[in-house]
Amino acid sequence: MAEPQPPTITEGLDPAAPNTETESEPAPKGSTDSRRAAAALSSLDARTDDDSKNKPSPSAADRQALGDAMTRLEGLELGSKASALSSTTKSPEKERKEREAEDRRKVKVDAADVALVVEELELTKVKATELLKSYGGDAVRAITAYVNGVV
Amino acid sequence: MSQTLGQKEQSLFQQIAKHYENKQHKRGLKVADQLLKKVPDHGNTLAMKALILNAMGQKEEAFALGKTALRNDMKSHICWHVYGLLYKDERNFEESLKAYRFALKIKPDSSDIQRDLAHLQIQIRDFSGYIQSRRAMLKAQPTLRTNWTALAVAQHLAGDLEDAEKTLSMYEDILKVPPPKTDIEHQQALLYKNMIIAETENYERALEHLDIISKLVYDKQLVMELRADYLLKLNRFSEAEKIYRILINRNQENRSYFAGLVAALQLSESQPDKLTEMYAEIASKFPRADAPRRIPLDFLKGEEFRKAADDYLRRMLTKGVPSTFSNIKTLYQDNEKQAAVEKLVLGYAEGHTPNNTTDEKAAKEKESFHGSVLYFLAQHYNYYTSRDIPTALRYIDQLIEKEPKSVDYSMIKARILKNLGDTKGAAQMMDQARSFDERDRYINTKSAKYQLRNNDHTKALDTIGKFIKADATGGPLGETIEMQYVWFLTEDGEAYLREKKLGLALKRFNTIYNIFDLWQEDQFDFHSYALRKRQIRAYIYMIKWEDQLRSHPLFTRASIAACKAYILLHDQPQLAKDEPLVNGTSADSKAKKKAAQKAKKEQEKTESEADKKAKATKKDLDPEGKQLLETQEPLKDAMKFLTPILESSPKSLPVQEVGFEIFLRRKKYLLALRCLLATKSLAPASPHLHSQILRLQHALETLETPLDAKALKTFDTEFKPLLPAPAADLNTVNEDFLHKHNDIQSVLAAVHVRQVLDPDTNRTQAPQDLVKAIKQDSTSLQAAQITLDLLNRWHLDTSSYVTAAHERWPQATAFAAS
Repeated sequence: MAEPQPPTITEGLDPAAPNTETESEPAPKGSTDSRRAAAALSSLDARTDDDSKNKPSPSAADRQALGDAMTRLEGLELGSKASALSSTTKSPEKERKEREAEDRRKVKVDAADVALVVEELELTKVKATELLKSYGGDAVRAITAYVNGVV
Repeated sequence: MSQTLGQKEQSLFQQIAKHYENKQHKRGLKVADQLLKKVPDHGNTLAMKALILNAMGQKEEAFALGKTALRNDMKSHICWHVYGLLYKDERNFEESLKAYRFALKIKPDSSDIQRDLAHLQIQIRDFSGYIQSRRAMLKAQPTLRTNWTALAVAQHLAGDLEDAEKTLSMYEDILKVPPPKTDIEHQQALLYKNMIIAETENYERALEHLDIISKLVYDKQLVMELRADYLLKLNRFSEAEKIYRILINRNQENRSYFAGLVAALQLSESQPDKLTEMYAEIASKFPRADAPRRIPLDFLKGEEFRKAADDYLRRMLTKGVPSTFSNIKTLYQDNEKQAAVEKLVLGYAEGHTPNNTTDEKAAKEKESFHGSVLYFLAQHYNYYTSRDIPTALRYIDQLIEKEPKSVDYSMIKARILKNLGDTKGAAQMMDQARSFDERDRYINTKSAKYQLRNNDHTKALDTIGKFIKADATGGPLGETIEMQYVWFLTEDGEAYLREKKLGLALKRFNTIYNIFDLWQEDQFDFHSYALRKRQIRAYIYMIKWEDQLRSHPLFTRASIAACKAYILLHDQPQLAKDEPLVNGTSADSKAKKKAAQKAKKEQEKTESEADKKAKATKKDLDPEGKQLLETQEPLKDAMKFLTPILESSPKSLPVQEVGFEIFLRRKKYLLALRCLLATKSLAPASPHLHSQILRLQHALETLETPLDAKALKTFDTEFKPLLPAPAADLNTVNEDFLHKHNDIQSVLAAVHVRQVLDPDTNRTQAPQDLVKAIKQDSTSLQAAQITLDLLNRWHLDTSSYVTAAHERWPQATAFAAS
């Protein structure tokens, strides 16, 4: 059985709460206000209608902006490709990560070690190589770390 | 296109595609055959036919045809696309990806192929590939906002927050006219951007951004929650406090708001006075709120606690809130609090005097209070930290006498019987509770579960069937699978495992496995849907949820049970052949057979009534899991279950334990060591460790082929230090351990080791050791049952053990005199 709501409780936002909606319209009061509210509402609808018509064909200004954005996007793309060689647009964090990945790629791994890891730790060949590489190709260190759940 | 068609044929081909899109497979097939009569080696038509066959469930033919199609026309993007789709259906994502790539190379501007490729990439979390695809899609259709958002999502998931934010900003810059307030897509995109900024942990900027967008977002509560959180992280406490107070005014039961308020006031549990004051103030403002009254019980101590608990309990018990005990029981982690609560409630019970007032209303209130008190006490004495079963029974019987038809009381009584080990009585009692309210789904579910705990599959299915529509395909069982009743299937499988009916057990566990696979596959639908519906934040949460799907408790539980079933199948392969005879005489099994036959007949009857068409496509060819039992390598099959749980629930002790058992048997000693070390870090005092260390050492000492030198080095540094003494005799170590410990788990561990080292001695010694252990007060019923199971597995004499166990737990079904 639901208990009755105590009289102090009102539906919705607590009246004591400061209004975060600074630009919101006051609640319609009286006939003029309610007419204004109705007008606002209908203009709201009209705007959405316009909007949906607008979407497939943006205005000329939008088109211009869109073109600019696309060239910038492509520039970014090129930039990220170029950064593999000369990192100019990357943050230091990214740079460090990439350098580490680069170092790892250079590590030479013994095929017999890969086979051992694949057989005994049941990792895929790719993962086994990765594991060995991250321990500088040292199989004992790699296996020990894996067994301890470090990786 | 390499093979060209005449105009008439061309239109026929378009017809096929249309029929396929409309899922009119039979018609499509007809037209395809018509066309193939004229041009028998037309690759595209063959490919379309393959696609149709695949959709009709004829997977093998479809695949063969797809290959022929490709051979006939290697340069057709349609053939490659279809090939990719067929592989995707087989869940061979790698090959599928390759095929899509080929198709796209031939026809780079095909949006269909590009889209399928992109969805596959995100499905397998190929983030860099996904970013590339999304870039291409954006370039093809830059006016669609969804494409910009999707690129940001790709970058975000790949961990590149910076670029993701840039992409979103770029689109915002395009918008010369701000979108109307009612544009939900815009709102969601703004909130999404805020989420990305917050993930960079630059809360200053996140707050700034939130201030800008807050006016445009309808979800005011979310904005407040985010703002309060950011303010807190920026140490702007008084501002955060204000918002948390507003939030609490809106909802007094959300504990995270209280936690936020406490943090904003810079209070901690070392200042209980101030905290109490804060909660009391809120409680006085909201007379109906529970949280501000309940939370102080967590941090209060001693006399303060006693007073607060007294108030809380009196309030709840007077109201007659049925969940009072559930609200309180977490406090029992603290022995002192448990004792204090017990004393308080016993005091209420003693204070009760037979009614002698003339005021009828007061008398009624008093009576209801007393009932709540007894109900609380019955649960209290049944709870595992404060268990005293005879007392619990006394209280609950008193209540049932007064109100014999109460669902709540009978349910608690069933639970008490369960804790006595009386699974049969518990199931009966729970079903009685169910009969008092046949339309309550909760008690129906409970009853079915208790029936399964009593290994009564037929009754359980019957019970649950009362809430399943009568014409469901495949009867109630089919419906539980179709509707993914994972809990039911888990309990059903575990019951079969207890009965050693491994085929059916494995069948259920595999069904659960497939259900989780399906949940993963269901993502495919959302890669486009969620973006189209603009629910980006929800989509991100879903992706993250899917990434840890296999850590779901029921998946873990079912997988552990499946591993145990496979271990059993490996240790006792004859279980796959014989009719299992568990604790039963032949008369017993005859009765069982009869019941099974009857059940089968009934099932057939319901099946024949069921929709025959659906049955034809969905018929299970191996309903009893016989094929699963025919495996030659049960332990390899177990890996299907073990690998995902080791990956997603590495912190679960039972997972590591079952992993050790499987790897030891598979002679993968490094992996066994991995599980052992994980167990050690999770539970350094676990008696299992003793058994694991000694059994692993024994295996290493008796190797047929020596281990690789590099592997041995790892054992030298990681395993040798765990041994009690280098080069010690394992038997002596084990007997020493047995002398030092007398709890049943340690004794069982030692007996387990002895079973490996010296099974002859174990035959006479093990039952004696365990009978001694069972008499220890600390021995739990559950541990005693596990022990019996292992004794049976080693074919040791259990008679003296069962007698001792029966003496200790006379009601327990597992030890009932046979």
